[in-house]
Amino acid sequence: MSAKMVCVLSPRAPRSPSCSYLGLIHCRGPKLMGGSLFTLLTMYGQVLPFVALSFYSTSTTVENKSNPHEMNIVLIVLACCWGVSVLTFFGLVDRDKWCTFFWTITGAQDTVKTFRSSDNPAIKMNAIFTNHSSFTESIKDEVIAYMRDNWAEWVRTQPAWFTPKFIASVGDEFIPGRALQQLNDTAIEAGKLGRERRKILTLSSMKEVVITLTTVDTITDVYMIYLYKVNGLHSNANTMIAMISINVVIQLLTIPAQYKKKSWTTKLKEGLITVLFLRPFVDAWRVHNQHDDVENTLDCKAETIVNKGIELATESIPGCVLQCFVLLLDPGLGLGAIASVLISAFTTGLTSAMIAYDFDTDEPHRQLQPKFYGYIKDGRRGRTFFLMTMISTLHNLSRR
Amino acid sequence: MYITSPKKTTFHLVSILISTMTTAFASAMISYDQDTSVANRKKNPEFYGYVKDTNLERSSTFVVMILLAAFHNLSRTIGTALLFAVSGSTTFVFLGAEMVVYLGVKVLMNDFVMWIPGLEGVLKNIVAFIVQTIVKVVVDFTGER
Repeated sequence: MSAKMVCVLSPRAPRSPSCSYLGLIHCRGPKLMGGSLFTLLTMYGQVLPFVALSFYSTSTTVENKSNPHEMNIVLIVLACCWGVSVLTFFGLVDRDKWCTFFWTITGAQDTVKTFRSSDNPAIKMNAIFTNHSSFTESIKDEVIAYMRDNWAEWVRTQPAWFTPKFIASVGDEFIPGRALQQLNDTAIEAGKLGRERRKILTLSSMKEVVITLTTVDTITDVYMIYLYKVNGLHSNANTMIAMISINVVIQLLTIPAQYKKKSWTTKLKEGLITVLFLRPFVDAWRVHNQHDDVENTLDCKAETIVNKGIELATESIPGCVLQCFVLLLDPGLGLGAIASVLISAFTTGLTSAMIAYDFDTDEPHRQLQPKFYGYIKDGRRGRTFFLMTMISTLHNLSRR
Repeated sequence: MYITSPKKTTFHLVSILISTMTTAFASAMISYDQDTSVANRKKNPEFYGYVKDTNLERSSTFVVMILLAAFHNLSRTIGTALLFAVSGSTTFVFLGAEMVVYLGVKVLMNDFVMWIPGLEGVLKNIVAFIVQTIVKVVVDFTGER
């Protein structure tokens, strides 16, 4: 029996750390569904089968129809059992918590309430800075005043929750002026541009991630393998599988070189990322977070480019040529096959444009070879990137 | 499948019951674990702590939670399966309308945006849409409390 089961089945048993991580959700909470909506939806869940049964019994299109009368009895029995369970449940649980199943409090209201009702600074600060800023916009002045009164004390006593991570999550406007100046000065002395701040995530701030993810055409490749198999084109399907495998194998071979100073567990982890086709996602995320490790042979941007290059050479380009070839021999494969060719051509164009763009706009490259790098003008980056993608896509299609 | 299958075997029924019970067990376990967590009870005593503290009360509450989730899951699953038996488009309209109403209510209550800090712009709404949809599906089919 697992630790998890022991914890659940013997409620007095000591709780292992794993137990604490089992429950991730508590849906009737104000920050998820809310008590009243939760209760309404569960009650609606009992009504739905009867509505569905009325549709079912009057439908003339259903084949092998079950006896609606019997179904009705089954549904009534189920609803009664559910009702009895609900009554028993409310009889067993703490009466003071009944209200949590019916309250209409929203996530924002709950956060404000927690801040105002608690005397514990850890809970107050947790409520404000681990929730979305819009939740506490209405009490911003109150929070600023509270922090102004207590910041110096926290700096002096250094409570356990007053960590660098917490300070980074606090916006400038909440930190008293002198303390903010001090934090910035310390950071500048350490060679940084300013104090550490939590990153704001927007779609445009994640453009590298979004663009990189659109270059993943593995899904269309898998679809084509399926299509070839269904249409009896087994050798073409196998060729496609071979291309994907070669891509994975070559990417695996780069891992010992890239992570040569790392332990075998890191190498194994990176290998697993590649085998599970998660490499583009992980690489894009690392570039976005500037996740550079001095022990790695290449920085994260260069690593992404290498991996994308391998993918282009072994999977995207030959895969696209194969798809065109098969489509010309067997035009009856349908719209799906044409769409797949177009998607492959576009993703190939996007990938090659992205590599060229990244190299050209990279500051170190421009400083090192100003005559070669820098053809993309600074005010026209978006337009140039789009044109580069289109040129590459069309070139790719013509070439095939 | 069971509803439209010409051969309704006991094996089908047993398989459905096992699936229901495992889903119910997982759902009850999550609810129970969250509610009895000391850290959660300290952090938010008004919300957590509906499960009482004696051995008997805890065990019986857990069993009732499993039964509650199982009956809820079965009703909801049968309802959806009956709709599917009628037609895919009917099911789509029903489930889609439910989702639209749910999200609409959330927007009207000014409670659509999720708590996750640091998200701004369109991304904030995309994440909210995904999380709200997942939460509704989980509640619909498990009654996770």
